[in-house]
Amino acid sequence: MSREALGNFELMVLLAVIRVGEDAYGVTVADEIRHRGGRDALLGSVYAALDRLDAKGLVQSRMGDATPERGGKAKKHFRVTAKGLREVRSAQKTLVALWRGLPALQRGTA
Amino acid sequence: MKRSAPVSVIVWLAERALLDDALVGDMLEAYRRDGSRLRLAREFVGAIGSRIFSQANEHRLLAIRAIALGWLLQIGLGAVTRSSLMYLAHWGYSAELWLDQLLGFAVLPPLVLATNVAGSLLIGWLVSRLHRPYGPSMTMLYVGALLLFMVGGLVNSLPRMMTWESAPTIAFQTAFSLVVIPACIMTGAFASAARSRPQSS
Repeated sequence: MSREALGNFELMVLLAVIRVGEDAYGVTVADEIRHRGGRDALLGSVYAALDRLDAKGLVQSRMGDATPERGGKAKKHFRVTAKGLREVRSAQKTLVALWRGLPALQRGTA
Repeated sequence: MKRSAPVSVIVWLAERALLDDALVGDMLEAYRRDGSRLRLAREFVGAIGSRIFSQANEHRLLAIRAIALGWLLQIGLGAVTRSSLMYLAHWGYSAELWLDQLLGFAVLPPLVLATNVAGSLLIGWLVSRLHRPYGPSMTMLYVGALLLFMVGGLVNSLPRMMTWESAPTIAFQTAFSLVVIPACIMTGAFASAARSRPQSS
């Protein structure tokens, strides 16, 4: 099962890609992790995670147009695949199941 | 977009290090938005570190081979140049006094520096060339190993060597070993990578 290979940061990147939607590329994904996830995400780490997710078939990439404000470099847009969505749901199910029945965590005293 | 010199240097290095064009574009876009050079430098170092780590992790045997090849070339070239220079120095010693002094003061010191620089450029070029398409990352791994060795040696020998008279020499040797040599190796690696970089549209 590929779930075992999905790391914590990869899951965050995958969720950020889903949240951002059509306009998901390096900068917007890193911003989403920064603003909603509350942790700093370097673009290099985001790209490394996206490359791994791409190799696992959980996201798909396509090249956009080159713009002068990006030094003539094209954007690489990402979107989550059906397999990626299944993987996120599976991760959520696993985490929620593990979460339940832990009174210490529910009270926030752990 | 008009770029300042440090930004141009970072973009130049990023392109030579074969970072993804889209990633370089994202770094420039983020820099344009917040204008922080420190942030851009941090993004660049993070992207390089991330790339080296993922490529070394994915191609462990190549990484080991790159480090071993770098060391072998370093030792081999070092031995050849050292013996050639020793021969030259010995020849000068047995010749006329003025020739000996000319060699000792004006010829040998710059020749030693020049052979070190040329040797480092060649090592970087070869290590990168023989590890395409991961050349720059694999060469950086070797440079990392070399720097660890040099810093270790320096820390070990510094207390014994350090006197007021020797301070300028040690400072020069330290800068040469820790800055000039690694920079030359990476320049050789980048030159090799630039030749094999696919043209982006």
